[in-house]
Amino acid sequence: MSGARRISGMRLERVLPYVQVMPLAAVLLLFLVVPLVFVGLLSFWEFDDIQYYPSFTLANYQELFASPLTWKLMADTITFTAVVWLLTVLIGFTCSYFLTFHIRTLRVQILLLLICTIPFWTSNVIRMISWIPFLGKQGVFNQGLIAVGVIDQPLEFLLYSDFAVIVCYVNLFTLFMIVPIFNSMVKIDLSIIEAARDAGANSWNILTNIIIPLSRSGIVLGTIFVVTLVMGDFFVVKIMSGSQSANVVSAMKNEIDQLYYPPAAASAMLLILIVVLMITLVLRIVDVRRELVQ
Amino acid sequence: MPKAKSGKVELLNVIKQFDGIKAVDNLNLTIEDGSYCCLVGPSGCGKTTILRMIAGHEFPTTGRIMIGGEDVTGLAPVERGTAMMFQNYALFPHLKILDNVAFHLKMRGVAKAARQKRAGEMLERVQLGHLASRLPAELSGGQQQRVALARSLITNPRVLLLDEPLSALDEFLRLQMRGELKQLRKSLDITFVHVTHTQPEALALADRIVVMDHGLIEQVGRPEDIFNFPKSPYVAKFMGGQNVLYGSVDAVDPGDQNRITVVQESGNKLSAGVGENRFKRGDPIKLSVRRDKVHILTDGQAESAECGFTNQITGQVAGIEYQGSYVKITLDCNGKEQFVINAPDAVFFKRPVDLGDHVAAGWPPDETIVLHGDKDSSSADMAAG
Repeated sequence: MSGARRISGMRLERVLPYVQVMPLAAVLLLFLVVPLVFVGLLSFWEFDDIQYYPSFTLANYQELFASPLTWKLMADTITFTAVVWLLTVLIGFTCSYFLTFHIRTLRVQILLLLICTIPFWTSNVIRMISWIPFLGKQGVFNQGLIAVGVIDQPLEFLLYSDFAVIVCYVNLFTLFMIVPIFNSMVKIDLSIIEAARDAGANSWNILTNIIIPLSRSGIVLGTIFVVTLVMGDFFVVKIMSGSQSANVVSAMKNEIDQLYYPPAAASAMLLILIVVLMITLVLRIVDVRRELVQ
Repeated sequence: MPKAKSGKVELLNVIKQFDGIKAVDNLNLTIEDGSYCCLVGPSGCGKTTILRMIAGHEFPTTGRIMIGGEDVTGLAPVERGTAMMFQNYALFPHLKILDNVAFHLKMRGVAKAARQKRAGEMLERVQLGHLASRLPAELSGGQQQRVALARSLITNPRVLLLDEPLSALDEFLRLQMRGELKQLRKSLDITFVHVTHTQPEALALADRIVVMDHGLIEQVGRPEDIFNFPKSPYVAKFMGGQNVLYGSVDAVDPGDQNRITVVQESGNKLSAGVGENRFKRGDPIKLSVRRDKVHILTDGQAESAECGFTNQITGQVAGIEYQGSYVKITLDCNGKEQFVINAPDAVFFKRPVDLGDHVAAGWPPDETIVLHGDKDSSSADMAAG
């Protein structure tokens, strides 16, 4: 009797962890893996500009790789990503540095960090649209510059341009850089910085030899957020460029609007592959898991 | 190796305030070149602040700091020729041990191969050559401490500053590292300034002890002087090994002004020599006697003056702790003051006492020390344990 119970108890012990991960596994399976498999399958279906049929053809991929547009879109997307990444890293690192090393009390640190999140109290769309009256031809910025006398003609490049797209991305995504970098920076023991100064390091040495290396995991996490967000966006690039610029996803959106599902699926697969490769590369350079455990 | 510069440290009228609170109050202190100086005191007494001001990690509100005769008050740490070893070692967690040690050389622009060679030699010297490519987190506490030491020594300092260097180690390692610090001191002709709240550490290492309390120096001296002749009840209690007795002067020997009789609140009378100081009847006075100079007396001894233990105190045994080479016996005297006797184990076990026994303890009057300072502190009681 007791023996039997022990056996069933041991069995339960072995099964329990699987039961515990089941809900999350089910969600991921249903809403991530299954749709991805469908998209993957769809990308091999046959398509004749009007209808699509279940089959297995590489035609969608052949067309995708053969089209110069694909590579141009991909290059534009990566350029956007690179510029936005650079700006968000610079701003995010600077803000975190200020919060960590120039604000003495935890209370003020948290207060200022909360202030950074204020724009997030409203939706992405509102935040994006708000730039239009500011950057527009008759917008606040142009009017201001004209009033001060810096310019006499409104600057045209401010809105409906790549500039506007980048401004908007930076505004939307910098917080995703600040928070992880701040998180890794506050963990730096101040006596380490003193020890560096004791060993003859100046402020620049301390920044490059101590603070940047020890903020690495935060920078990597922020990079993952920003890269995936920018590469997956189609809305900002469409609105803020006034449909003059495009990226991979906005082109995909056009295809979907025209019910060109198999070609859209093929370019989705390509995009996923490239993003995964980029993230893998980043994680190869920095072992985030080890850094987080430390 | 001839030393380039003197490691004499002087603090002149140094005051340090934090938000209006004086952490260090008008301090004057000279630490001779090549000496080993321990700053001791309970936490918050200002000893670490002094160390950090010598290191240049903190600047005095007023006053000057001199090293080797030069005014270094406003200089950065690296310009002072000091090296500090931090309490938690403060190793760079992302750098290999070798690069931790080589950090100073890197900052000075020494080429990679050269600095790694010198750091490797320094690591060999602290017997850690085989761990050069490990990260700090992969090392034990004792090993980390040696790395921190190597990292400090590679700067070739004239003053080595140690902030509670042994406090994070377990008892065994602490004793081992204590020995190694002593050897290091012998092999290096530099000044050591060591902050600790552990009295045995200070006694074992220092050739000069500075006892501090609330930002002030209470007593400076050689370890044996501090231990045997504490200036005040505070020092006696903090350094340990002493019993402090309170009373008032009952009579001054008419034939010998040096000799007085002291009466305690209980009416118990003790005899003491006062040295230079002169007392008159009724003056309050504090005495101390070393725990190991006191003997538990037999009835016969207590009655006769022949054995010489004419200063006596009676009490009830409240604690007996076997300490190996001696036994610590705590007496409750009038339920107020506690009196501690450290009896050699052989003596104790020849004629043991039990908890609750009423016993008489005595010591020769010459072993009685008159405490001149007034400072008394209950925080010191706790620190001394």
